[in-house]
Amino acid sequence: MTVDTWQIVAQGILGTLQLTAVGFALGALLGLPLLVLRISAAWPLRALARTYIEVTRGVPLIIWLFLIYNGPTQIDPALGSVFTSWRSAVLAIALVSAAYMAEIYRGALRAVKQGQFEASRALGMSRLDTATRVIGPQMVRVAIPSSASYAIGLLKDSSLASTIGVFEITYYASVASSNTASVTPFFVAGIYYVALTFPSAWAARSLEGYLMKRTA
Amino acid sequence: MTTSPALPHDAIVLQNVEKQFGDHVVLNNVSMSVSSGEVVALIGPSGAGKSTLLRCINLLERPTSGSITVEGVTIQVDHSIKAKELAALRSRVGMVFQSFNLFPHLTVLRNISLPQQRVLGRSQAEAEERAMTLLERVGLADKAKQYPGRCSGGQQQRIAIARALALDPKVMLFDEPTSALDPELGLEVLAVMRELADEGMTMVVVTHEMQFARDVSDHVVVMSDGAILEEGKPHEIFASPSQPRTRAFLRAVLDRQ
Repeated sequence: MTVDTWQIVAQGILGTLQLTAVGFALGALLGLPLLVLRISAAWPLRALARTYIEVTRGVPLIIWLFLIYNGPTQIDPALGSVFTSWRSAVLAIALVSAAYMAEIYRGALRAVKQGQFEASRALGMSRLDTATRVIGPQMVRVAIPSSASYAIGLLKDSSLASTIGVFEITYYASVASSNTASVTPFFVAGIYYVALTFPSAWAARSLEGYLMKRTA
Repeated sequence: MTTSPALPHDAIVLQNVEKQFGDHVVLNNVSMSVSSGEVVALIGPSGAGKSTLLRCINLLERPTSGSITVEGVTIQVDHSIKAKELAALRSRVGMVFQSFNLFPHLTVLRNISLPQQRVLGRSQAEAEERAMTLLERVGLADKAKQYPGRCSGGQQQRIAIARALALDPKVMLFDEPTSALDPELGLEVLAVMRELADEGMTMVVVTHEMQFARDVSDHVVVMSDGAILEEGKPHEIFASPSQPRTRAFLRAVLDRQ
């Protein structure tokens, strides 16, 4: 195992982090309107959101990557410059994450006691204030552990983006492996993934602990 | 509408209020009125519809039909209710719940100041000043910076009362305010409520505290099976209830106390 291998694979660390962070952040944002539709009083909206969530989660990420990366160019080859590897990967991860996050939010919403909604209504707070100042902050506390484990899973799943040529850890490991006919680069990649997930898990636990200490 | 605070007027008027959940009739054509400054105890066996009736007053529960008037704001429930009317009604009514329902993620001070800022548009300084005055009044000024989870049940309920009072309601509704508390913690809450009553606050209290109903209320309403069974002065109801159902209920609760 040469220093070279470590350095080559390390070139992908930033790519992995960026892809995961941007994809997850977009998914976490898109999950909010999706939650609103999912719990809407109008059943067609509920059905729409539910269908989106089930279909998006039901299809493996790698299929979404291929569909989003290759699909548009089949319609118009010029779209290839719009749907680059990076953009396609971010989009696929964001769309899939939105579905997972909406379900995490829904679970968090159900964990907030009914009395909190009633108290807010009885005080005359508007729906927006109730959502953003009373219910939302309480949902965040509940949603952190599951969001964190989802994000950590995503960090590893982002390796699938190597298949459409995103420059991340697994991509560099594959290239190095085929150049040297050795499995070592994948071993190195594995170590990098573990090294990245440890601090993330730790950060999530500290944040959760901090928020719990404030309210307990 | 102008009302003189010196002259008693109808603070709350419920007319032909009905509430059904599917086939189940929870409130069956209930009408009642509460004068300003009056303390009404709503008593009766569980399942009688007391809490539902109370929750209809600020429309936390929407009746199936009937009308509700609170301090000059009338809402006909069969018509669609405008958000503005609803806000006007709720701004006149404060509510205290059995389970306190303080916001666990906010400090005690913030629990009381946030609604004032959001609902009444008070400045933070103004809202916090008012919050501190009320906290002192319920004897909990030292808890201002704590989170509700650090307070006892009795303290939380007194904070909840302060939170409701901070919005200057004309009417206060109490939904079994002491039922979730140990007896001695209940006493501190009842003491605060007694003070409020003495100051002339219009109050409707759903309660199993017969002592409180007898000593503090001006009027007792006995409910059973979604209807008003009888009503009157506390001494009349407690000394000589006219309905056998009331007698049976009072005997059962008083024996236990």
